Amino acid sequence: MKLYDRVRVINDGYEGYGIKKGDEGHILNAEIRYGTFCFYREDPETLADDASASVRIEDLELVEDGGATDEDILEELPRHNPEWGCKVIDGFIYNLKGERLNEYAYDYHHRRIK
Amino acid sequence: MKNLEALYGKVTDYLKYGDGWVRRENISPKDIDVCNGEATDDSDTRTCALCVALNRTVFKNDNKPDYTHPYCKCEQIPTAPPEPTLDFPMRKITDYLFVKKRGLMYSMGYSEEDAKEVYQMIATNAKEQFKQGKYFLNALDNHGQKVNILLAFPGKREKEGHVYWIKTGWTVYPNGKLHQNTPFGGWAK
Repeated sequence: MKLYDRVRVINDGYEGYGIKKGDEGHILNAEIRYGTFCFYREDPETLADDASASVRIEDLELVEDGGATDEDILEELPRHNPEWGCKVIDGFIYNLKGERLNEYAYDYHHRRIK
Repeated sequence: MKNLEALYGKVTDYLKYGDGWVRRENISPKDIDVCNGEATDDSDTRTCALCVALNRTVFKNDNKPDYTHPYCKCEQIPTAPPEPTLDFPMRKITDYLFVKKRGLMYSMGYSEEDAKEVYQMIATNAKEQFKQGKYFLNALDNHGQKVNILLAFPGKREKEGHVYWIKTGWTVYPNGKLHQNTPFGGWAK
């Protein structure tokens, strides 16, 4: 899971932001902050990105790969810093230097101690 | 009572600064840009996260975020109209708008080869609209003050002659910098 991927919200808890379980949309910010991605819900009829929230990684599932390259991601990262966590592969958060940032697979809130 | 105080504050501000531009400033060295897009409290200067998020932002006096609280250290300083700069990567158009919302772009007569033109149109119009104070305040949170800017999109090819009004979503960063969130936040009604 990464920037521009199409994802689905699979849990409740974001109704206050206008986002319901089952809603689909995209990841529009590259960085992962405190185990969350910035998710934009897409209205299925108008295609408008009409609601957004920081959604926990475990509350998202991948629908379609957006094809963003590392170069695309680097351009979108704050200050183009490759140390930001930005990709989720098999339960692990990685940065663009290839470092794994969480200790246990699928536990996105337990940071790995370097 | 609180509403009355807010109204009083608005009226006083308007009488002081009219419809000019104001820069919100507090004593914290942090702002949304320094914090890399997520404001946090500044314990050194005892500034709350939302005041950090708004620190050094520039808005029209009659269209600025209302956020304040007791003992707020923010000041509104009259300033010249900003020269907006954009944090808007071209890939938002090539890799997102023309990929994820291709059908929408086609429906206005645009295709992938027009990506540069679309980028320029959004960038130029957004700067111009913001400079004229034509933006709509949206949510304020620790990711900053969001605004919507409406843009007129002229139809192309078989859609020439049509004008489409779309909403684009931005976050206001310090000194008139606009960070793009989404190039298509919906149709403007």
